[in-house]
Amino acid sequence: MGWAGKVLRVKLTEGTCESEPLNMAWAEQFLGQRGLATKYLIENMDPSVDALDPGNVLIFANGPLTGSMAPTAGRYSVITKGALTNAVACSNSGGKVGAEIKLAGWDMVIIEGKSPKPVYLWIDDDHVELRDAEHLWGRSVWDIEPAIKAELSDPSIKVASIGRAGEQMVRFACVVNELHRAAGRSGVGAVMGSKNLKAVAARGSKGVTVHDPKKFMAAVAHAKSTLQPHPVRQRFIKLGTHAMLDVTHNYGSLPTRNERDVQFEGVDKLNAAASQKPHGPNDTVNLITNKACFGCTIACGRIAQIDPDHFSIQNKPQYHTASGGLEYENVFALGSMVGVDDIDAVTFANFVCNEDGMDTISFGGSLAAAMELYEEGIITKEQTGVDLSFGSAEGLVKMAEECAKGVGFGAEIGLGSKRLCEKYGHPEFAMVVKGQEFPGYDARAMQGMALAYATSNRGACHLRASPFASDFETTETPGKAEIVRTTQDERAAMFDSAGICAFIAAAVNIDQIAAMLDGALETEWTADRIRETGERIWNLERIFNIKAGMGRKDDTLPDRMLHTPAPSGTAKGQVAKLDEMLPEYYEMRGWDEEGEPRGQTLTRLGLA
Amino acid sequence: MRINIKLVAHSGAPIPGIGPDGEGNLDVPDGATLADVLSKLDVAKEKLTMALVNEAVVRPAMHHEHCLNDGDLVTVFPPIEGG
Repeated sequence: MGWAGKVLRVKLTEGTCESEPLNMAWAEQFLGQRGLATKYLIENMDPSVDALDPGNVLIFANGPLTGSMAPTAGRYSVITKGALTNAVACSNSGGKVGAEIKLAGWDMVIIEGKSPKPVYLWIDDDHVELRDAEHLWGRSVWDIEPAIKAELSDPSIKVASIGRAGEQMVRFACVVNELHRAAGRSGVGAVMGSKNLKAVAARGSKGVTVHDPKKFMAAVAHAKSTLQPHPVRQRFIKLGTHAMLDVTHNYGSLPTRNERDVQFEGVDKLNAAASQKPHGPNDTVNLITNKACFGCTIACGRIAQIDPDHFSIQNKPQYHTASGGLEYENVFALGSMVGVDDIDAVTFANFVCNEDGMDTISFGGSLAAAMELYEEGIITKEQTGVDLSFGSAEGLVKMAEECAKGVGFGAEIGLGSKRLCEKYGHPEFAMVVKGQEFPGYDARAMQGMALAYATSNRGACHLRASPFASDFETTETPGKAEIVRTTQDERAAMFDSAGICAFIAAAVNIDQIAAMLDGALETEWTADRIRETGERIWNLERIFNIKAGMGRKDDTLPDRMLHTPAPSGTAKGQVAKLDEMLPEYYEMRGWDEEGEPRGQTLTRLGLA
Repeated sequence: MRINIKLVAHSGAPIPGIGPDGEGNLDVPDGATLADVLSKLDVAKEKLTMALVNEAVVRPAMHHEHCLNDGDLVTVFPPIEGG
């Protein structure tokens, strides 16, 4: 219960789709979604294989709560070896397609091999087939979602697909569902493109059952009653995650101009307040409304529009309607990180990233690296075809379009910061960990985040740990290792493996989440079991990365974070003190000096 | 004394003396602490409320002990995570 009990195994090379029972022994150990799929991944592929090789495996995975009555239970993840990082990748998305796959009776879809020609997967409850997608290849997400629905004669079908970026294997291509929700990070869309798989479409009618409905619904009601009146929920509704822009700017942790700066003078033109005020010749208001994912009572999603006279959308009617708007990570990455304060240009770049499936964080970070190469005279306008100085809205717009289609200098942006900067002989300009671009928190002003970035199994990530409260309280390092380790474990299981959204965390505690799992599943779930399961998942991911050739050398930060002091803000003069935290972190994890789990750690966690 | 206020990403109910942009000032008795001001702003009940005084962090444990001076700038951050 909580589970449909079935896994769909798709062998693209052979063109077959087979049903197999969910491995319940593994589900007991690894819960679901991120944890359980990582177990399937490591058991079904050689971690040392190249991410774009047909030997890589791509998994769409649900948690036991996905599709249930639990609040925010619309989450699914795409698990694979990342094209951007060559490390384990797990990219989490909301919307409705994950729940739809669960409602169709599938806990997980495992995709192996490579199709000889473009195909898409159609899941209609128990009926599953691979369908020709040659007519969809070369088209955007925004174009093919309606096309698939029309082809299957049902507008209610849910679709997860790749755009042209995924087809071109842009290293940070993502999987997009319902036009503007994305499994965004680590290049999971490039892996999908490498397999000639254009989309997964689903229609489900089976429902989700739980083990003890009375206990489950009592836990759900308790969680909802806690969430409903909470001020954080109200803030998410009114301002979305966009609110964070003012926070990091004022604190001095807002990555600006490829992290040369930590505060952005144009913040008042990009912040949540600006998105709600008329601007431009037509008094356009950027934010139209908010939007919720499946089962969500928060609705942090933004729906926005661009001023119809803005230069970015002249003669481009597809951008004259409202679509997915600005959230914190995209407004930082496409705004302050590249020094652009034009909210319409930032919104346009965000639309393009949604339309053709690119991770906004990594696109913005890669463009910022290119801008630094440009400002240092290492690349020129003859190469880029446009002014790529920091702050160039024209550069942002042109590079977004080119990168999405894999043409012009934009194709080089699509390499990602690490490969781009190495190509031009300046790896120090790449603000990455394990090849993945930094999210919107400067590692010098937020020391816990510095450790979280360095130790994240999927490369730089703000979602793998939760040091926010501590980091906004102090830039001293004592205590950070314990906060990072604890929250890494809790989040790995509580959110990424259960099927619910991390944004309920401010209101709903781990005991309440354990109570929902306890009602949904047959065996007993407690907060301690969630933590232990999270630790098991974290170590399993670490094992995958070690088998892929990674280790302590990859648990580091760019020189700029380690040696160039923050130029302003509360942490002015400070650098990231990783060497003060990393050894303590390894010791707490039960790992040796090289960052490898000790034998007793693996035995304790059942991973030996 | 008068304290300058900046509520970052303010989304709550209107507060006398504070504009819709979250900026304004409050008159408080001499000797008022940061905790006194946060209480007047109705944000102290939110867990994890972070505050700066004149752009320097004051840890929550020190809110009750940190005495303010006329003209100080108190910046208050909401408990929110990016995504």
